Amino acid sequence: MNPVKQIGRYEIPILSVITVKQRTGLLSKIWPGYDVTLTNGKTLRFTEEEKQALDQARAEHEMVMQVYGMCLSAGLRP
Amino acid sequence: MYDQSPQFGFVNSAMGGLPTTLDQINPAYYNQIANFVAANGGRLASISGIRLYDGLRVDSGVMPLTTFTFFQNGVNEQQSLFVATGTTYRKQNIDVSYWVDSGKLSQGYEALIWSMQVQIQLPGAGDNTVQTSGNSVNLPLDPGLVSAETAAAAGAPFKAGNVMRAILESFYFELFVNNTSFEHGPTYLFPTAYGAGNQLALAGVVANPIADGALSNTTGWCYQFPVMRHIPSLTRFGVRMTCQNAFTTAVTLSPFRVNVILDGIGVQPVTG
Repeated sequence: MNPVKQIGRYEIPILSVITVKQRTGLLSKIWPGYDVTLTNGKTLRFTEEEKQALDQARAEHEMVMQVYGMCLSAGLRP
Repeated sequence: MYDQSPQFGFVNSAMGGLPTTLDQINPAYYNQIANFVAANGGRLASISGIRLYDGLRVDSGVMPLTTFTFFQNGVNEQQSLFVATGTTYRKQNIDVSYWVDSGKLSQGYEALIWSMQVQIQLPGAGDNTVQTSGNSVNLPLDPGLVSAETAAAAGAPFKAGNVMRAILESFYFELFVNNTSFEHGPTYLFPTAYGAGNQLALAGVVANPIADGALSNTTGWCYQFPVMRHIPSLTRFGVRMTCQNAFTTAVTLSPFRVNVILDGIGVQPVTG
């Protein structure tokens, strides 16, 4: 399951993010933020708020997976 | 998935195929769990497995053609026997889950339910004596010795298989949340995973038979809802049981219990 979430200006499957790179150097003075690479090779620019939204979405996904694991151990059949 | 080549949006190809989703979650469950987690602040410490249970003591006699609703009376509330409705008792933890508060879950308690089970457990012979008063009325007092069994008396062997079949085909159940009914059907459609036994031993002669063993409507698994059912706090829910065949256990002297169990995960307020 690769949940599609609204991350700021983008609606993306959050697990398709493979790298998040904080901008440094001169470019970061003009356009600060993060370069986010997706599995299809495209790179998006995330603002600080969008990076936080991505972190939160990933944490929620992790929590859902933990609870799903609890359900399976409690008897839910997949 | 591993054998599939990555595709980058060329003509006639699909977008992105790298194996990022190895968790194998059933998509039908993902959003339900996500909503359940989100509704409760995502605190793992407050989540636990929950088996919501409620039991009905069906005393010996002719089954009344009435409807009984499970999960309406919580711990410390009064409930009557199914046949002799004038006999009441105060429900304890052995009777009902303490999460239940008058037909709903208490404030701060919620559950996500994936199965409904109706548990029937029949011994091969009646108890020598049952409790006749107090909060344990109709529960076993003296289960009895095999050597004490005699025909046509308390503690006598009876045809547990036939009694079981009568129970399986005479009662109708339906789960409801608020005013909407969901899973429904006769007893035989809700087998339980919690039974014990399933063997009967018979001996003796017709005039003086003896029996031992237990018969349960378990196959070791239970029916699982295709859609999990969310029971929020302070929302009415329950399971209705309607008797539509007035069979009698007045001769077999075989009181039995009907326990309805809702399996799932629950969330509760925690401190610390």
